[in-house]
This record gives sequence, C-alpha cells and structure tokens, in this order.
Amino acid sequence: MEILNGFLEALKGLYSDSGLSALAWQNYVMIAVACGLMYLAIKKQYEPLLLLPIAFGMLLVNLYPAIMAPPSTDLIEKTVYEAAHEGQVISYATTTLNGVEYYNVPTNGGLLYYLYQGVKLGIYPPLIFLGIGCMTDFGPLIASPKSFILGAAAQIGIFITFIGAILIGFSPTQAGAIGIIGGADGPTAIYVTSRLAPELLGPIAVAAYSYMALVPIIQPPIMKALTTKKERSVVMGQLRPVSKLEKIMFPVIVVIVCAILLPSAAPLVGMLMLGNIFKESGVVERISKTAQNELMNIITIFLGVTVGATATGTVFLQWKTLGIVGLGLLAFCMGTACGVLFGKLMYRFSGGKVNPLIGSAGVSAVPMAARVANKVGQEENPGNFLLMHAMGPNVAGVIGSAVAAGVLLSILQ
Amino acid sequence: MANITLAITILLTGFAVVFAVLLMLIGIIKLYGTIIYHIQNKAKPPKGKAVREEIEETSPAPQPAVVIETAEEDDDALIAVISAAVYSLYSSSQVRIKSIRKAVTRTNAWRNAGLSDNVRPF
Repeated sequence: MEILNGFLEALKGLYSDSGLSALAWQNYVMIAVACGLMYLAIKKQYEPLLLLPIAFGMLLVNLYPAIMAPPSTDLIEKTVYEAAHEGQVISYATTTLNGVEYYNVPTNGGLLYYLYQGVKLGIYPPLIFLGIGCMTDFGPLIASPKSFILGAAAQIGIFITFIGAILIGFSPTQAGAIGIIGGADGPTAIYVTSRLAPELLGPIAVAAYSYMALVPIIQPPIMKALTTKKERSVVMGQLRPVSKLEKIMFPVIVVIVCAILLPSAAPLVGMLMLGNIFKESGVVERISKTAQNELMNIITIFLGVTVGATATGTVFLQWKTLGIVGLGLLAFCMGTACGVLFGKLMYRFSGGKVNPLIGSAGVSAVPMAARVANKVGQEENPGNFLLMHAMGPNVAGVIGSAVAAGVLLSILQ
Repeated sequence: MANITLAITILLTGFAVVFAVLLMLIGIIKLYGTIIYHIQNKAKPPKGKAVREEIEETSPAPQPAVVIETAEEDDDALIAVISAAVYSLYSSSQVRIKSIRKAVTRTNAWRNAGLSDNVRPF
C-alpha cells in the first residue's frame, strides 16, 4: 500500500511539474501559431532565415516559459539548506521572517534569457548591420545620388503610421516602435522596439518580417495603381561606372554626416558603414567574409530565437497585436506609395527619364523590393532592366530607415 | 491632445531631418564624385584611343580550334551579350571586338585532387 501511495505521489509530482498543468490556453494557441509560422518558413519559404528561428523560439517559450525566466533568488530555510549541503562553506545573505532565518539562494535564469540580452542591450541589430554592410554594393547609389530622395520619401510611412498609432491609443514610445515597421528593415525595427517598447518586440518582429516576406504581394498593386502604363515603361539610361576610390570614401562620408547630425543613428549607420568599408577597401577580406557569413549567421540564430521567445501567449494574444499588424501593413503601404509618388515627381522633373517604379524600392527590404520594381517594369516592357536603378533607392532606404530610427529615438527615448 | 501635438511634431521633424540628412549626402556625394572623376580623367590619355589600344593589346590572337567551336555553335545571343558587356564596360563605341574565344582552363591532377579535397562534403 505504501509503495502504491508513493507511486501515485510521484505521478502527481510529475504531472504538476509538466506543461500539462502549468500551461495556460494562450500557450497552446501560441504553439499553433508557431507551427503555422514554421509552415510558412519551410513550405512557402517566407523569410526562412529569420522566420524559422523566430517561430521555434516562440514554440520553445510557450512550451517551457522558464527558458526566458530572469535570474531570481530563492528563500530556503537555513537549517534545511545546511542539512542538504553539509560541509559546504555558505556565503549567501540571510533574511529573517517570523523568527526563521532563510538563505537568499540565487538561481540562474533560462538559456534564452541570457541570449536575449543581446537584443535588450541593442547589440545584435548593429552586428547584423555589419554583415549587411559587407554584402551591400552602394555603387548604384553613388552613381545616382538622387536615389536618396526616394529612400527618404519611403520613410514618410513611418511617421504617418506613428500618428495612426497615437490616434488608436498606443503610447508615444509604442507608436514609434510600430511606425518603424514601415522602414521594412528587420534589424532597425528590432533595435528601435527594444529601446522604445520592449514589451511589443514579439508582435512587431513577426509583423515586420512577415510584411518583408510579402513584399512581392503587397507592393505591385500599389505600384500599378499609382502609375500609368507609359510611366512604367520608361527605360532608364545606363548608370555611370563608379571608381573604387568613390566606393571607399562613401562609408566614411556617410558615417561622418549621420553620426554628427544624428548621434542616435550612429550604432546602426556606423556598423553598416564599417561592414561596407571592410568590403570596399579590399584589404581585410578575411574579416569581411567572417562578418557576412559566420558572424551574421550566429547573430541571426540568437536574434531570431530570442525575439520569438518574447512572444508568449499572454503578451501576443491581445487586441493590440491586431492593431500592430494592421498599422504595420499601413506603414508598409504608405512607404511604398510615398516612394512611388516621389518617383512620379522625379519622372516629371527629369522629363520622363526616371521610371517611378524604382521609388517603391525605397522601403529597404533589400533586395526583394528592387526585384519587385524590376519585375513590375518588365511586365510592361520585357526588355526593361530596372534592377540596378532600383538598387539605388533600395540601399538608400536602409540608410534612410536608420536615420528615421535615430529621429524617433532622439525624440522619444 | 498632448499626444497629437507630439505626433505632428514628430511627423514634421522626422520628415525634415530625414530629407535634410539625405539631401546633404546627395550634395556631398555629387561633389566628391565630380572631383574624383576630374582627377582621375586628368591622369588618363583620351578615353577612346586608350580603350582601343587596350582592347587590341589584351585580345590574344584567335585560336583556330576554339574559334571554330564557337562558330559551329553559332550562338548569336552569347556574342550579343558579350558585346553588350564590353561596350557597357568601356562606355565607348570606339571598341572593336576582334574575336571571342572560350577560356580553356588547363588543370593538372594535383590541382584537381586539392580542389576535390577542399570541396568534399563533411
């Protein structure tokens, strides 16, 4: 009989420790959401490099919430602890409650809590920018600096969405974090959100990466609605060749201008340009390769998993998540529309030499947005190759969204 | 009301700062681009002549076997692409393409063994 009671007690203990009793219904819903995102990442290949780790982080934290738990202190009765750790020199602080002495025994946090510090302290996004800088060719932008105007125009969506978010009741810092989704730049969105509204990190990261993956679906209808067939058919002249010296000077000049005028943008722009000078100088090939391959892959894993791990059921399953998703889409559409409208202005002022479709690429999302501009242009004229022309506004958009992030941080932080 | 005021302030500030910074970059890039272009062009002889000489010097004599191979394939599209790339690179109509031949890589057994050793899957 005693054995049977012991067996039942053991089973009860196991049940109370298991997820079956500890998890709330929200966790089960989030497990389903994580599985859905994994399906999109694997089967549909929607931004799989980030969506897959994000989805798996989401799955892990909802199965075992303690994996994101911060370190804490357990109060253990002094006599009990000493009996269990006989002979050990104990140097913990003590607390006395109702005449009983307790040791304050520190316990470690969960694995993902420690990895998350890279997001919380704003370390991972600039490191991702370092790798992006190593992979980016700013040649088309240097050859056609007016592309910067389109990169700036596409950032207007960020600020218009900010107003929308304020109007539906978000706080100013939360509205800033939601608006930055319109920059269509994952690391920038995560960086700004971790600074302004870390509680919204999960929904904002998922919304930003989902919309970036959906660029080929979201942008073409807006581009077609705002342009005429004649405008879409414009064949642009060839870009001038850019010398190596110009390419080497570009990152130095950009970082000097941005860091002096807008210090808040310096971590992002600075690392982007550091990566770029690694690439363009041609004298540190090993470092450049490491930054764009191994380092970036490692950071991508940590960033994805830990950002996904912020999406617990209680945080994610709220009405405001729907608001974030809706406003994120608005930001994205507004950015695309503003880029195309400025492209139309440039079409008029240049006497029909600029194809307005390249303005849509100003929303970052490198290089997907440039490819979409090229594809939509080729639907009108299969011999029209806009890719290199669209890469100018595309990389200008990366700098533009980092500058916009700097503006939001300096005003709201 | 305070939030609306803040929102409009941020809209105007953001719009102005992003455009100001990027317009300033346009100006600086155009300026240094022009300066570098002039410095580098001063140091060079007239472009058309230089390009022609360079092309003629660097184009090796056609190798009959390879030329025949290309001619047999009659790959007009390939010739058009190569011509377009050459004209695009030198931005000049002064360039004459005398021949196009396939680059034959002569490899030896040691090189092949080293290559396969390095690219072998783990």
